[in-house]
Amino acid sequence: MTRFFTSLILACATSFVFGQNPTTLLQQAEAKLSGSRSAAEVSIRTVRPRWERTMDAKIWNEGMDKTMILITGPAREKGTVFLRNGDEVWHYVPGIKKVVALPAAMVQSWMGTDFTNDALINAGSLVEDYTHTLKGIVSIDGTPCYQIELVPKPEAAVVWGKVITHISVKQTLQLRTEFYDEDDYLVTTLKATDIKNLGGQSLPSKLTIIPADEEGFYTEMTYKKLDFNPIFAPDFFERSNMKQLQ
Amino acid sequence: MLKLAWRNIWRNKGRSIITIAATMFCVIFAVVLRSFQVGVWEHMVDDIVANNFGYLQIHQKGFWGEQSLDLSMDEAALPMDQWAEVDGVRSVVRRLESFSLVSTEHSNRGSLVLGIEPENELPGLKLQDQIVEGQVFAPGSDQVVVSEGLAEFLKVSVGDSLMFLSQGYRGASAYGQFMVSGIAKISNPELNKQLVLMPLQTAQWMYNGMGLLTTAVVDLEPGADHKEVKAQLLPLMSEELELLEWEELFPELIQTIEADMAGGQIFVTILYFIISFVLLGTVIMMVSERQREFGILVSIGMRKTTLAFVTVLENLMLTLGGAIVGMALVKPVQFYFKYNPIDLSGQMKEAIEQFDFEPKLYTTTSFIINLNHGAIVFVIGVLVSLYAVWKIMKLEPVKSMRA
Repeated sequence: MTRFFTSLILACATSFVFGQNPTTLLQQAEAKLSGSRSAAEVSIRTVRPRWERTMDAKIWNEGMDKTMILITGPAREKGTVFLRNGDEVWHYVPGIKKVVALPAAMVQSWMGTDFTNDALINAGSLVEDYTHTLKGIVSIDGTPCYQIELVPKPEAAVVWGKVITHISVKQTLQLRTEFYDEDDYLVTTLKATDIKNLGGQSLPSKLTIIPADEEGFYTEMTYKKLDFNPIFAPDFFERSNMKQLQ
Repeated sequence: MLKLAWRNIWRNKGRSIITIAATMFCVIFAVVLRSFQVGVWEHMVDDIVANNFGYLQIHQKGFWGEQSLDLSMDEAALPMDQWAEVDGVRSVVRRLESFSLVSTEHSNRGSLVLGIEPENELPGLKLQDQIVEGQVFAPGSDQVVVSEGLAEFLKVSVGDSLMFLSQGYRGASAYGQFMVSGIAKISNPELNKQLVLMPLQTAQWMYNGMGLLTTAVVDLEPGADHKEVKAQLLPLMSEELELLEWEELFPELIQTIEADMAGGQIFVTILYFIISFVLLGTVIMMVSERQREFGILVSIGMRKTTLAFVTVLENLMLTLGGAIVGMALVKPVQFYFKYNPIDLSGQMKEAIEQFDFEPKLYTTTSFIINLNHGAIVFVIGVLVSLYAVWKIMKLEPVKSMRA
């Protein structure tokens, strides 16, 4: 009899946890972070064991496939622009006044940070390319979170072998995401902290990316302003706009 | 007895000449074969090490493994003058090396960028003999020299401009637009496909690393032993620096050489088997021709051991003579092909170039090889003459006289 009750309780608890559809959770979490349109001002701090460096940037985006990034400081990088529109990625270098097409597969570091070009500019969705499994509830820095395991669909062109993400139960925010390679080794961890009111919503204002194999390396991106309702001119995400952007 | 042996040699000139010639050709074949093998590697090491990379390089600790600009050295903090004063050091060459995406309007390619001061460089990068078109850049100018293979790939010629895009020191972006002032043929095929040379200051500016060097190449006096110089330089290295000799810089090269040498050794061993049988043939011929003579000598009272000794002595003189003549005759051949290498063509050339080797066959003029192989052939000569000893010791005078 006791055994029956135990299993009944277990079944109830499990159905509570697993009653949540992981795909819906991810969709909700992603929708919070990237609205259909946004304009942000960020500062990006790259930390190395012997030095660190801060860059300021403005980031605009529309939908999933249009992103424009303008570096506003320091002086050496000021005016540098990255544009992604669909499958094309362009890089404007003010020092030589030239727009250069970036090779399609850019996994190297973006502007010397721990962000890869791929992660920042090509940021794909975790919803479409992966199958999702809810693993349970774990605590991330004291906040209960759903732990969801993502495995790439066979035909998906993604670089990761496995992704584990944590979405807070109350606010549905992606607080911690771990990226693994094909051999199940942790490659990088993305942490979202310092939840603040940004653009009228409670959102993490600081994203930290930590490469797993480099001791003392990390990059922090802090949102200073975030606007979910910017108005873009029709030709805003065009190559011709890169040189005059401010 | 020596006199007796000497006379015997002259008694049958034809047979002696055949033995000498057999030994001589054996030595020549073995030496030519090995000379080419050793020579090709000698030339390659010379080209890579002496002309382009140097026998000794100094970097910030870890630079060679990571090839990261962040592991650069601040030139002001380096005791360059002290290094240059060490015995056997001719000069210390300053370089900044990194990678960059080099693009034109139509194409781009990842390239190796080397900021150098041509007048202080190693022979392979002095850029006087290497320039095939245009001229060397002026120090500090916005000009670059592009290697022949890269220029071909990017379809640029003198006067065109190239865009550089990369990452500089400590995360800064690196960019520049420079004019091609000249095109250089770099002897190392791998470098010739991807090297861009620019003035040291220009590279420092582009990579946001004013006053920084990635590499200090220790240029040696001719004939200086790099291991000795290394031992003297080591106490002058601070904790943060690494001093690497070429064997540590290019371990793959050493492995390739060793593997190739082992292959060559097998080939030479096979050659020696053939040589042994040729020499054995001459001894067998000699013994059977002189059966009757041996029989008479033994029956008129000559001791078998004495006879065997004289025969061995004859053979020793012949093979020694052949070996010496062979060693001497092959010398001009070695010298000729060292300075006039065989230029491979066609499919062979393409196959070798794929492995980034220069498609030319050089020889070495090192006399050690001649001496080694001369000695080996001589020893083989001695061993096969034991056949004659054995035959003589079981000689039955009556039977052999009738034969």
